[in-house]
Amino acid sequence: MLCVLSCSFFNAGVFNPEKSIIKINKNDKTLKFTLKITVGCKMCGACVEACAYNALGWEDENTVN
Amino acid sequence: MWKRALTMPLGGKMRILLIDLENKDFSYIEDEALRPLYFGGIGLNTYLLFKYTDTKIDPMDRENNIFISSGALAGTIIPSASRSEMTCLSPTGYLGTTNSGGSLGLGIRLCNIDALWIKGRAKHPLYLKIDEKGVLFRDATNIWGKDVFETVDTLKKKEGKDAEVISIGMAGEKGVRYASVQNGYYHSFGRTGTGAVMGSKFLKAVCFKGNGEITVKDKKGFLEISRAIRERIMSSDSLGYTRRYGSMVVSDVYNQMGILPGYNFTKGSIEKWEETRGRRFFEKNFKERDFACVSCPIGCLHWSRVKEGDYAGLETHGLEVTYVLEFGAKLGISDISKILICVELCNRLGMDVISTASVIAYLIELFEKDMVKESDIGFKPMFGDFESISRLIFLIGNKEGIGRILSEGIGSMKKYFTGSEDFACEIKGLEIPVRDPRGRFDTWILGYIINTRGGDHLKIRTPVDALLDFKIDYEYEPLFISEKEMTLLDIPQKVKDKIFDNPPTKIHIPHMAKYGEELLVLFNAFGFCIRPPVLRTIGPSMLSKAFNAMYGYDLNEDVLLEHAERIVNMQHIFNLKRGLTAKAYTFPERFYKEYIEYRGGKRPPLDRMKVKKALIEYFKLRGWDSKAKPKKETLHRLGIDKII
Repeated sequence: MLCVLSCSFFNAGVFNPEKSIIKINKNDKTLKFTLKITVGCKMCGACVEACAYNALGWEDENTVN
Repeated sequence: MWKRALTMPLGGKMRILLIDLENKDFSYIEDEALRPLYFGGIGLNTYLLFKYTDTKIDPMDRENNIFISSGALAGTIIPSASRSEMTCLSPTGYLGTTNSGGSLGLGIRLCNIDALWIKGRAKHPLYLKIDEKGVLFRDATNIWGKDVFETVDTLKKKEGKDAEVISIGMAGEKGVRYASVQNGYYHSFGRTGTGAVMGSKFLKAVCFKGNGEITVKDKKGFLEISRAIRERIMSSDSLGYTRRYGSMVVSDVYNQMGILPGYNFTKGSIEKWEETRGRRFFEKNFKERDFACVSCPIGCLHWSRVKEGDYAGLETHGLEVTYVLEFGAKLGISDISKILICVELCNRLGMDVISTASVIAYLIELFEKDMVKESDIGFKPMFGDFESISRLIFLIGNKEGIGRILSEGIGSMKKYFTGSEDFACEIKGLEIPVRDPRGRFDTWILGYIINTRGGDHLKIRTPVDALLDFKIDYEYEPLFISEKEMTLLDIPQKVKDKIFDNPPTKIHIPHMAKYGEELLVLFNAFGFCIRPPVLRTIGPSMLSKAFNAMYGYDLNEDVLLEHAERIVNMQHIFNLKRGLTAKAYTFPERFYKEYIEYRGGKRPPLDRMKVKKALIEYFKLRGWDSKAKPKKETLHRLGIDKII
């Protein structure tokens, strides 16, 4: 969840997953999760920098995928 | 019943949520002075335990307190800082403290608190729902008696699937003295029986569902140090294999070196180990994918699936090497799918994997030596026999039949079985884990006897550990580390001068044990993980920079280590007040009397006098006398005389 924490820190100045534009939907029992980039992404790339697992990257210079 | 709290950003101020179970009431304690002295996590918990827990009580008395603190840097982007600490007077009789990862550190801090202090005993089973506004005391009668998985399922359904849930299973409810508190489904506050204390308070679970904010004083500095820490962790030579195998990386090496705890510490190597319980075998046949704790870029955890055999279709977390060393070696189960089932049973019942496996191994040896009869148990317990072992796990967790006495732990059990003391593998009431001490006497092994929570391997570590064979010396262990890793080490120069020779080729064990113990206090206080990529690259200077940026202090590495030294001493004094003496700082007789077979032949027992010499040297470095009593000047130097 480093992407979520980074997003909230860069965009809201605090750590709070609710304030992140990226949302993670996780199932703690199966340990599966999905990522969703919601409306408001400013393409700052903080999440891409934070992700250590290649779950996020640049699709082109204007789209985080 | 809701109470409005003073909601304000935490800043440097420590904010502790005090919960009175008996009166279903809560309040907040705010303290400016505690943060720079005790940080959070184990530091804060130690202070609270030391200051506010009566050392004359029984661990199951209502007067016992439970402290749960998030690491000071948890819930942020500081890599690996995800962890929390739970502390109380343990059913072992001494310090009980245990650390856990996952997302709980974040969950606690989103309630705008650093810590919970739970006191008193509820009148009927309760669970707590906590958010940034306060506490709800909810009836838990309908989940009392349910296992951990059912409990978490129920509470996530009721309180929201993103709630962080810690809970106890039947073992905690019934007072198994090594019951765990499970953090979610798979993470554990495993050691020292905190689950039994929670059960004695009729507290089934705590749900954290806050929406608070974690603030940082110096955002730019925080980002810089976060990046610097990440770069160091990701540059470690150990990163690749830690992610690939997780803790399983050492499974094969333990067998090759002959340091497995095989069959209750009687065999250091086991035939066909790599082919049945090795890291590649596990990876090829069971591992499905990796996952990580909330703030971690390493991802050492795994998800496994059993593809064939009786348990085909089982999917679960694992394998951790502790599982395979405990159930695979100590109890001799060769089938990984059966090891996973044993662990799943422990997770569901809420019991520490290490103590459970150790107690069963002790029982099997008692049975083999004819000190316990088949009629006492109802069936034959055997090493390697999944049927009898899984049955025993179930009996312990439910405290039924022979499980009643097994639930007391080896420290208590050995009093009933005269003549079994030699192979009762515990230290200070806590069962000894994972590694045979006779293979190599190093910082890790000295750590078993000096650890303030008893026979355990998780509170004293060296940042330069390398698993290679060497001739036992008792005073020094050789330094095997690449030049690159040496440059990544974050150890203060004056500490290096004491620990290493010059140029560095060897490690002075007692000095490293003292430093390694203080380093892990800092790791546990800040919420850091001790996996090799972190332990080898992050030390007091990086920690102090991150702490200063977050809270606006100006502490340096020396100050951090001095505070850690104070915290260790406070834990030790707590134990002394509980009646601990220097006599407890010893291995069970097996390790001083018996040879250990391994694939290279036979290794001799430990040299009692040389172990003692290393121990006394450690006492001296701590400023304690030869009876482990802190000297007056030590108490004065650390300012503990003012707290007592």
